[in-house]
Amino acid sequence: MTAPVMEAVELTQTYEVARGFLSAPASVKAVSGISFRLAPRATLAVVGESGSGKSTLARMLTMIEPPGSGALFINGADVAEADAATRRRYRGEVQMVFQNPYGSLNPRQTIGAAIEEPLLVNTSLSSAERRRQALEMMTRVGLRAEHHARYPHMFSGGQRQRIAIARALVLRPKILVLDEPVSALDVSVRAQVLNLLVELQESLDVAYVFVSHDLGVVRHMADDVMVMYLGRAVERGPRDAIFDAPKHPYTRALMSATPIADPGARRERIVLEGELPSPFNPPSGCPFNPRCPLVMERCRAEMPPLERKGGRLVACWAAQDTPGPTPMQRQPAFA
Amino acid sequence: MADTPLLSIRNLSVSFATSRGPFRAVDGVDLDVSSGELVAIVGESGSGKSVAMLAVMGLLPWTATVTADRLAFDGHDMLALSPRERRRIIGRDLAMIFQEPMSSLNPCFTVGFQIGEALKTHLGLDRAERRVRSIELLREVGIPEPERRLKAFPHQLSGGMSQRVMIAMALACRPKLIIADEPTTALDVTIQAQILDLLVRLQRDNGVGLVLITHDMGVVAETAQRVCVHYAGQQVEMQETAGLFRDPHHPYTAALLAALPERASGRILPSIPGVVPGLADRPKGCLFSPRCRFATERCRTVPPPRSGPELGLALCHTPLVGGVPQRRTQAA
Ligand SMILES: Nc1ncnc2c1ncn2[C@@H]1O[C@H](COP(=O)(O)OP(=O)(O)OP(=O)(O)O)[C@@H](O)[C@H]1O
Ligand SMILES: Nc1ncnc2c1ncn2[C@@H]1O[C@H](COP(=O)(O)OP(=O)(O)OP(=O)(O)O)[C@@H](O)[C@H]1O
Ligand SMILES: [Mg+2]
Ligand SMILES: [Mg+2]
Repeated sequence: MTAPVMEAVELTQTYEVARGFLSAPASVKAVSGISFRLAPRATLAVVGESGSGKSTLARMLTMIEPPGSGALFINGADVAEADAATRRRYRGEVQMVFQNPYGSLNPRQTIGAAIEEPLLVNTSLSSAERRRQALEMMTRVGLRAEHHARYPHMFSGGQRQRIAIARALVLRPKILVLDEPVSALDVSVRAQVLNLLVELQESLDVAYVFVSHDLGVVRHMADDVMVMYLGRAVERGPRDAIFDAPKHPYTRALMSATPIADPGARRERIVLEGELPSPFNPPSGCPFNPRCPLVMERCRAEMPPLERKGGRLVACWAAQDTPGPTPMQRQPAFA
Repeated sequence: MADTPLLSIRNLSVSFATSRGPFRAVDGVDLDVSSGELVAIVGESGSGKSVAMLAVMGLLPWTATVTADRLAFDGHDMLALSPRERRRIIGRDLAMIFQEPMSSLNPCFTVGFQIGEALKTHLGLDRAERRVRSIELLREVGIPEPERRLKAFPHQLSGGMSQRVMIAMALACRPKLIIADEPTTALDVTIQAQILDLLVRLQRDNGVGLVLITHDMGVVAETAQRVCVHYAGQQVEMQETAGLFRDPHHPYTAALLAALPERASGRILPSIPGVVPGLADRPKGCLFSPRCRFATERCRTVPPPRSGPELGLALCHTPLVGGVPQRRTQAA
């Protein structure tokens, strides 16, 4: 196996949240014990429940926040042990496209200035050269030269997402962490952006960590898939293993809930019962147990480890070490 | 009154004053939505879907000029309303779920305060009633431990949670019509399914009218009765859902469906070449003609006519049937 460009080892992040006047602050374990290796030019897709810690993980991978515990390696070197200059270089090599493109753009800065900013901060290019590279990147993501002098509020949601992608790519990073990069895009622009990402991955050797709720897109883009639930990885493995034979009951539910763009399709959904778990007060044992259709006594008492079963890693007591999916009952969609 | 639509729009146009002259973001859009109906709007990013609905709500900045032959909601002429009357209707009978939850929630106030405001203004609930109803709403949209989340500030929520808070706010006063602009983009599919179930239930059982703006063709296929397709400010096609997916009549709709990763076979998706026309290069004829694989000379020079309902009202010289362009019998 080629050496990974990025390796995460047991990354964990905990936030303190004030609970009002007299009570002690509560802590939220947003991410716990996430590990993976990302090969050069590979794509790891991260999917999972809303609030399961995907954005938090993305912020740790891009060194926006240091991990609460665990380690992050870039090109084999531990980021925590790097000196300031090296860390700055790593920051240039790992770029991020944020979930909320509006919030990440400064409303008083023109689009051109926003895209040129990383070049201004990280390189010594002349202003003419910066402008040329910014315009080139704008064209590549489907923006027009006349947009260069405009402000973010003049763009639609999808156009702003293209701006964010252009800005992240202008430094030609080695690793790009994309947090829901295409969820705001229309189908045809999404196709253009996905094609662009595929093409850039091949021409510029970029590796992607790709956070998305859209399993159609994930299946199209990913080499490996990691499924998160309440801060933990519940299943991780090669794309085809996960899509063809999902083993974790949450992965199964996720896949069955994906809407199909075919009004004639007869389909069934696994409807999850029970309250969503609270990150303040996670259930004992397996975090998925209150909603799991396969729950057993053991699940309420003991946390299942992430183990290799049937060609992927899965954290579930009920999952079997067979090539097929874990069996579950299903219900008709929108009954 | 039974079949008067709840929302009725005719020939709605919106122009923005820009430094290079007026920019027409919405161009002659028609739409009727009845009680208990779910209409989806899909289309190119920047094609004026949000702006058209913001015009209905009266929420556009002063640089926008709104014109329409009709813009009626529940018997009110929305263009003639006084600001006071408008405030009474909006947020109560007519609610909108905005596209960007993070920038639509006020960062300075807690979630509980922001939901409570609407309940106080429109329904006159007292403090205790507001708390009960807020918790009920947060639970309906699937937020765990709603009691505790009432005290949270927007930055402490994940993207999907802020989106659900926005939805809870829109539902607060039991509106007659909900305009939902990308309501589930930040949600994982299990929660998306739960929110869609909730919206579909409101529509089916309580007769709420719904306008759903979305890029997710799967969501459209599974929820909408009718679909409008927008391109460059214009409505280029409108069909009932099954027909649109089976036999799209406008070449833009056909290209859109072909670009779905689910329908693609290779690593490179069949995307539509080029970009939406801007102010400077707006074509004389059909606005889609520079990107259309079926475009003829006539398409480039003459604005297309509106086809009949049997061809999905396609705004096209040569609407498709079974993927094949149909020559119109041209009147001399
Ligand atoms: N700065 C913060 N302070 C307190 N809690 C936080 C903070 N940032 C995130 N959290 C909490 O951490 C958990 C994980 O949040 P995160 O944004 O990583 O989720 P996510 O998987 O990206 O969700 P989504 O799909 O909805 O964007 C949530 O419970 C969230 O409320
Ligand atoms: N305040 C404004 N000033 C000038 N132009 C504007 C303004 N607001 C919107 N526009 C323009 O109007 C057009 C329509 O924007 P709108 O937000 O309605 O698109 P949309 O169809 O909702 O796109 P998306 O799917 O990306 O949300 C865009 O080209 C946008 O740049
Ligand atoms: Mg997130
Ligand atoms: Mg919009």
